[in-house]
Amino acid sequence: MIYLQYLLVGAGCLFFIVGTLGLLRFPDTFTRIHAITKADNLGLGLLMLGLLPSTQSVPQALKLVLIWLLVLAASATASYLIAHYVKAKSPDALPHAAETASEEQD
Amino acid sequence: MHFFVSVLLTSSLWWILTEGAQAWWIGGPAVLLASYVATRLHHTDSQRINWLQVPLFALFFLAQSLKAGVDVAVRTLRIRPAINPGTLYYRTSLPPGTARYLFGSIVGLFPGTLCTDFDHDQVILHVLDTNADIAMDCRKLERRIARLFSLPPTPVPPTSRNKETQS
Repeated sequence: MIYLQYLLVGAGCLFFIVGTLGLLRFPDTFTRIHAITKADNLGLGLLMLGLLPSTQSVPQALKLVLIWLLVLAASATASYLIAHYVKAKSPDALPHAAETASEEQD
Repeated sequence: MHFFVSVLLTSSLWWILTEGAQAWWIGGPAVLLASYVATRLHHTDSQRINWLQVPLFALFFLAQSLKAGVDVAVRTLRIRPAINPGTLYYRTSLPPGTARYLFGSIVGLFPGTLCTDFDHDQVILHVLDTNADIAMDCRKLERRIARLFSLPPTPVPPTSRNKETQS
């Protein structure tokens, strides 16, 4: 069991690192939001799963799950708010519509 | 009525967060404030969650989150980040209100999509890779949300800017 926990927590940390790497590597605000929200959501989920067997009481276990759910709700809302703000501030920030963009692609 | 339900819910939230109800001198005011805000922001539309559908929806959500995280991780770790960003004007059949807002929030955690705005019946999505069939994934999520709220599935009129509905 402990090895499974190591594996889950390790994988969780890896996704956090990758999310941060995406934040550094991706070119603009929108793509960065993609990287950080999705990778961290999964990373925290794995971390929570890995820590669950180590909890000592039911409220403690519930608390772990709750933290994940709260972060999920917060990151889903925040990602929309940031994207919405960037779009409202500079309407040209969004790339072309999907069809034209895929046609232009070589 | 809504206020009391809210107090009950936020109290149990505090109970979980403090692992057995401690520090009520912080929790009490926080619970009351949160319930007050929740009541003020509460808008009455006829959309109610069908709680029987929640476990199925949660499973779908978990699978998609896993896919989204792995997808974005693989794209990040390429030597040249494998992205081809674009915009998708997605026509939704979900009625305005809770269901549509839930769609906008959740789509941000799904593979390659990010909601930026609502415009009438269109949801303006930023997509990470325009080569992926995003509209198809959105349609799937939409159907799940419609089931979650027990909404009747409505046929979607095709638009020139929506790949999936054209076919």
